[in-house]
Formats: sequence, C-alpha cells, structure tokens
Amino acid sequence: MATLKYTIAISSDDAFPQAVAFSRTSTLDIDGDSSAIGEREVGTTLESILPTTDTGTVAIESRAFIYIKNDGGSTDNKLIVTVQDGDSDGSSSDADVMQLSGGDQVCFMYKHEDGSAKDVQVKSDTGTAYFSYAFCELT
Amino acid sequence: MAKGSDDITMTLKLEGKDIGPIKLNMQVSKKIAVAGGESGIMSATCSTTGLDIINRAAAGRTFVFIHNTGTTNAIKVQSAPADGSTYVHIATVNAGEFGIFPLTAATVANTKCRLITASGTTSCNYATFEMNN
Repeated sequence: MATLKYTIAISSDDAFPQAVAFSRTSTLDIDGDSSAIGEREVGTTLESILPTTDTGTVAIESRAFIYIKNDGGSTDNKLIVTVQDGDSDGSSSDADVMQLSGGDQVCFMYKHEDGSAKDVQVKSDTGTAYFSYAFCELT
Repeated sequence: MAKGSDDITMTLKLEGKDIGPIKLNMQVSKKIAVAGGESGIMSATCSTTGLDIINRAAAGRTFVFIHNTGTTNAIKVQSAPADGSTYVHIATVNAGEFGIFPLTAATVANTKCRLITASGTTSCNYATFEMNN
C-alpha cells in the first residue's frame, strides 16, 4: 500500500501573548491511480491541477491530497487557487478561495464527485506566476 | 489593522512511499507575516449546523490550520469569498487529518470560513492568523 506521510509544524514567538509551537503528523493511504509532482508556470487564465480524461472529466474518483506552493519571492505575482468541489454542500462556483504570495503553500484534501469536470485550478493575479505542486489520489 | 511585525514559521514535510516512479521526500519552510491583528488557537466541536471559525468584517487574507481530531465524521471546510454569504466547499478533512489554507476574501468586506459535518459531530483543533498582505 502506497502511503503519504505529511507533517505540518507551526511556531510563533509574537503572534500570541506567549510563544506557541505545535506539530501534527498524519499518514494517508494512496490509491495509486493518479499522482504527480512538478513545477509549472501559469498566466492569468485558470489552469487545472488535476489530470483529465479524454472526455474532459477529472481522473480522480473520490478524494485527492493537494499541495501547491508559489515559487516566487515576496515581490512576485500572487497565485490564485480556485476550487470547484463536487460536494453538494456549498456553491461549486470557481470563486478565488485562496491566494498564495511568494513562498506561501497550501495542502488540503480535495473531494471530487466521480465523473464530473470539476477541478482545482490556479492562475496568476497578474502576469506570470511559477508554482510547485503535488497531488495524490486517496483511497 | 496592522499591529506590528508578528510572524509565524510554517514547515510542511511530505514523505511518500511507493507513490509512482519517484520517492517523494520534501520539506518547505516559510516565515509568514501575520501582523493583521487577529489570531487564535481553539479546540471545538463541529456539527451539521456549522462552526464559524472566521467571521470578520474585513477583506483580506487569513491563514488557517484545521485538524479533525475526531475518530468518525469528516469536516467540510467552506468559505464565502465572493459575496460573504455564498459558501464554497474547499476540502473534506477526514478524522485524523489536517490541512492548511491561506484563505482570501479580496473583494467583500466580510471574511468568512466555517467547518461543518455531513452528519453527527466531530472534535477539531484550529488556528487562524490574519495576514497583512
């Protein structure tokens, strides 16, 4: 069984009245049908993160672990992330739900409705942005 | 409102086993300015009626960490970036899982994020950091 172990550590000396630091680790079971890691550039037109079939539907059966990082610096263009989720709760519009400044990263579990064309997409707020990404289809 | 030069350091590490043709092993760390003024770390119970974790009368970015500490029910993470009332489903965090989200509400003066279950309740820990950019 393929697995993905991921750890997030957050610390701050001054965001709270006292210093805080915590870390969490979890291990996910990976389906193995679809996974990828890479770097890309994107303009101001939305581009999909996930693979699609010939018929245009997303080749993810249920959930996927998504990781995206804006590879730019603090003065470079921002990366906009939109989510069109297949869940019936909430709108499936492609609203700009997340914005990554240079160096920012996001990881989350995207839930996809099997057979739909809904997707996780990215674009640059202006000009061109460069980003790293990874996704793993979950069981 | 900015109140100073506060920041957090966030480190993400990914270790893959038997995933595709390569061995995934990466670690990324970033110091993030969070001098926007509001931050918090909470433990709470999430249910089908929804738990508002951000409801602030201002546009901007908020960095959110969410950990489903329950054992059964999933948490749906939703925000309302377009108009402050129409929620968009972003992620489904199963029991034991967690995620990080640099949420944005760029054009509406009401930043909202809620956690909701499809059925039953689950416990969760979450942290929010208002960012200054």
